[in-house]
Amino acid sequence: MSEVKEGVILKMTGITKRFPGTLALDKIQLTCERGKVHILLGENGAGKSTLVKIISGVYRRDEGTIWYDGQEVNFRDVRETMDAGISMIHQELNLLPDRTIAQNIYLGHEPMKPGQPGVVDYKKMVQDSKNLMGSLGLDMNPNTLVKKLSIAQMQMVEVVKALSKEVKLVIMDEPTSSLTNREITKLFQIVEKLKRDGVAIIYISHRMDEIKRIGDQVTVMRDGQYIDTVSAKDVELPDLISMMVGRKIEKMYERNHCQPGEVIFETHDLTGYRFRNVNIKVRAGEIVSLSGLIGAGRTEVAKAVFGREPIEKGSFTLFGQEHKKITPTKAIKCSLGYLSEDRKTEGLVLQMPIKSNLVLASLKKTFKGGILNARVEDRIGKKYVEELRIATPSASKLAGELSGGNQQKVVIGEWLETGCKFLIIDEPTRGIDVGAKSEIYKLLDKLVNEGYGILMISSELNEVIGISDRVYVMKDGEVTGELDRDELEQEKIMEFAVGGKGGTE
Amino acid sequence: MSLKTKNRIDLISRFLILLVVILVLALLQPNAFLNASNLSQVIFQQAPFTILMAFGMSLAIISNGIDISMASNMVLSSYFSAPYFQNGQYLLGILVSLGVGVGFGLCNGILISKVKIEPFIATFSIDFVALGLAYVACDGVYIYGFPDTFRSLTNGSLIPGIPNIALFTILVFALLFFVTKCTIYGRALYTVGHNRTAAGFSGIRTDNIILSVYVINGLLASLTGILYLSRLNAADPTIKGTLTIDSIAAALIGGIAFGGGKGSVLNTVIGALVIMFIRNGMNIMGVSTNWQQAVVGFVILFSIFYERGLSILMAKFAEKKK
Amino acid sequence: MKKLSVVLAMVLTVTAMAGCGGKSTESTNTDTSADTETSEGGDENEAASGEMRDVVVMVKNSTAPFWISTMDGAKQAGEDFGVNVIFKTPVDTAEGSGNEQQSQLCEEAIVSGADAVVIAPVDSEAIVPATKKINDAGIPVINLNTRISDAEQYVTFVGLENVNQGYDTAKVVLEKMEGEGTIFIIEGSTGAQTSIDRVTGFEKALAEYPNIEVVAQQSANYSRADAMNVVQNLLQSYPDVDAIICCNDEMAMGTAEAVDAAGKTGEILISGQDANDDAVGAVKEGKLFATSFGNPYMQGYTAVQAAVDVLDGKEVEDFYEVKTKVVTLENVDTFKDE
Repeated sequence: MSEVKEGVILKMTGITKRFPGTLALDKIQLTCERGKVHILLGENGAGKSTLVKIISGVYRRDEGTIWYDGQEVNFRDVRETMDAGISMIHQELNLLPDRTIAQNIYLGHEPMKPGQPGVVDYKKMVQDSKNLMGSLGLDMNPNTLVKKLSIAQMQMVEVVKALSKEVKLVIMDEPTSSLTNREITKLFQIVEKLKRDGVAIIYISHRMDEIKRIGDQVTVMRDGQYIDTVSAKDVELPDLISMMVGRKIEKMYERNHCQPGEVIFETHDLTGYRFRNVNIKVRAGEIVSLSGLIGAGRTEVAKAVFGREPIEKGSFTLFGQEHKKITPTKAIKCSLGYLSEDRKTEGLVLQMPIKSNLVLASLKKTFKGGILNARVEDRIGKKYVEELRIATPSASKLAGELSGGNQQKVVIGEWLETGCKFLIIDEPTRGIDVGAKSEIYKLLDKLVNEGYGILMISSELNEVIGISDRVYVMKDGEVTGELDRDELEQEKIMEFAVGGKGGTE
Repeated sequence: MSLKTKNRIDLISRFLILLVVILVLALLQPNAFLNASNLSQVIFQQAPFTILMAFGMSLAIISNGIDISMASNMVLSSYFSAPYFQNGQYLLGILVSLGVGVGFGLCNGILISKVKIEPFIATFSIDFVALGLAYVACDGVYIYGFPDTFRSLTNGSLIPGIPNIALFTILVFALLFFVTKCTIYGRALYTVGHNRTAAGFSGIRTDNIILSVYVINGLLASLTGILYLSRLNAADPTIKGTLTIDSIAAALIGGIAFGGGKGSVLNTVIGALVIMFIRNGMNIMGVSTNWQQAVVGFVILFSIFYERGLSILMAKFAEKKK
Repeated sequence: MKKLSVVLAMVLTVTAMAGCGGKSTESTNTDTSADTETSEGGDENEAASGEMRDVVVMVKNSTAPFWISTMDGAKQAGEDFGVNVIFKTPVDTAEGSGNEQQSQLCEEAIVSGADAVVIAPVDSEAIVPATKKINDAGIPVINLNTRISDAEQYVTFVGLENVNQGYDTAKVVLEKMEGEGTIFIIEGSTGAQTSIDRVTGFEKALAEYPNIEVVAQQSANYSRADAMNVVQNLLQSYPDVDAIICCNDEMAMGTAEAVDAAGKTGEILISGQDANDDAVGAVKEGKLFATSFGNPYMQGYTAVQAAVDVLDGKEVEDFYEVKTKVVTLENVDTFKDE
């Protein structure tokens, strides 16, 4: 590691980047110090990713200067920035599934046998990987194939890979989005270690609680503009949020709890792929959350109920009708709506207009006789754009052109149009801006007050605690606990989720 | 810019390609090319076969698949049904032809939608099976000479000036256009083409939609086969010729992109006409057949670059409007 | 499940293709490979050893009537002279892949212990390396129908002279035109030797008639459908053409339909080659003016006969020419018996 452990390592001024038709970055400035964590904050589309891609050499700037490690630099590609000690941990996974952990970590810079150029020293590679992971407090066998790992473990391999070279500056793009609490703690320990070694860190995150936990400075961006840089210790979170969204958000979680009605959904010893003997129920007028760690089997339960995965044993009752076998088409007929966690591939058809997405799940119901009617479609499009306040000039725009929050509203609209009365929503706010989140929460609240029942699957504890009436916690495919609204605490949920006292070690 | 406007611009620009081809040929060969008899011959007599086959290819591509087997299916169904038509047993002939055509279409559909074999691989194999069986059935004997009633299917005219084959193609076109653009079946087809998973999550029976596409293709192959018998006055396995390639080319030139969900059967007609006019024009000019292949290849390449250029242009235009 | 279906489809395909030949018999006899070493020398005793000798006959495809007839002739000769006739034909009829498959079949023939190989090459140049291997294995090669470009490769050539066949047919048409007018030439697949030879023959005949002009010369890929379109298009430029000379009957029949569609049947002389059944019928009807009988049956028969002669150590000639006959309305009912 570098001798110098303090002082500025990266200074960028007046950085401007244009893409055909858009100004992605407009005179951005950023200064990073050795041994400090610099948090980049901003909504989706604020330009954070573009900025770090310029730092890591993926894009080249149109204007502005970059000083790195004491001199003005002009990196041409990723290889050059890597040689200069800049490393990036990507949000999306870039691992080779059929290679071992060690092969992935040293991909592109494998240790060679001395005196035999071109021959990989596999033994050394495995040993080095072991040492490196050990020094970072990770306990994984370097010979394991990557495809056998959980998503969270893969993310940790990405981290190790980024640190396998000598680094002076590490960029982390939303590294915790798919990690469980246990691993987040581990990651933060690694961050602390890097800080002690004098490595500068640029950290992109959506999670407000992380700012106080690890941040030193925070730079806020909005619509490609530089807003401000503040000290993480001194700033108040609500201020950061209003800097990000450009307005004040009164209250994140707002609920008007109503008197729940009759039970509309109930499972009876439901068993399937990755879950066993699940017994849960949802009443009309309730938001019930299914909480737990990633991989606990929550999504699998939802998909089985919707008919996308087989039910092995048991059954469930939906509006008084018992089902042992079901298909999506039948589920929709039985007033069930399912919003997938993967909006872009399982929810929306991005290449089709908003209005066409809105009628997609109710084609037969909307168009009697099987003939499309443009006027009806326009009317439905207009109705939901107004009712759900979807930010678009027209319902004829493509769904793919919308932001995450507005896309989620389109999917909600699609299900409302089917006339369903029970919604299963998987990760309702994943990848959605802070500003849009509170709108989604308000919408869900409004729906249950109109008599809908909602089963929500969420990995964000704040969200679970903030808007649920009741919470079931799952661990390893089984329901381990049920909590009422007044019992909801982070500690208690984690206790059920990991099966021990305190989920964060 | 809305999707509708985009599609319309795309379609109009494809139509321009067709016009340019016609214009260039008209300039080069003002007499032989640009006369009513030649134009009507290409449009009404030669193009319908390529158009009908390309319809099937387009449906498959729109559903994010491909159907390599149509031309062979056509050969086979025409071969099996030829003896009945020759003897004037028309109903029986049609039943046999449909049975073979739809049967093989169903095989494709089941292999692709239920057994989950890649459309290319499934139809590629069926292509061999169908053509192989056609050769077995043929065994070197061409069935030649059909009754005049049967031949009037292509060379007769129910409506003066429009040969029956053209009339039939127009009817098929109108039906397919209506079904794909104006019904919920069509909407489901495009949705499956764009994103099969999301379609499934929206309650669309994606397997059935995909199955239906290949059954429709079998139907089209069988009907085209009957018409070919009538036109050529013979059942001959060599008629498969370049139909498969031509129908893929027609779809691509017309603007139906691989990846699914884009274009309509109107695009197909334009693409097929471009190819047929190029072939016709070059025949008239006495350019060798090999050059025709090369030129069609160039036009496909051109249409792909054209597609990209067009979308960039449209994006820029949309920005300016903002 | 996925894989199984693919395999099943492939098996079906192969079975279909094999069945296509209809008359092929697969040799399972590998013992003969030892004999092949000496067979060229024509050891008389060998024939007497009771072992049936294997003659592999490799034609261009097993789908065209011409080749089916050739195989019939070869089979008959096999029965008459007491040898096993084994057919090996490529599935693919295209120039490149057809040759590739023939080359493979040559190797198979060596391995399976053929005593003699009769071959009609798809590609007369590209087949040379494969025939060289056969010769190196000491197996005699009898060249059928289409000459291999290197004369070292074969003991004898059996076939018609495509140039002569083209010349004879064209001559009959040009004579009928009384030495004046315009014609189209419709070629087969580009690069195919038969097509090149026949066109050479056409041109030889044309040289004798200076007042006849070739106004268009195009390929229709030996296909009926292609020929129909091509001729329809050409008629747009030259509606008054007097004759259309085609390199095979399928194309001639497509041409006849195009001419018929233009309402010019009888006005334009059309000629084909090969005397397929439907073409002979068309000659009778007056739709076709002439075709040419290449006597494929005789070609197949003579080739196997020549192979037996070579194996028996008899003197063989360099070239057994099978005479062709131009078929017109005059001899349409009798040409096969003459």
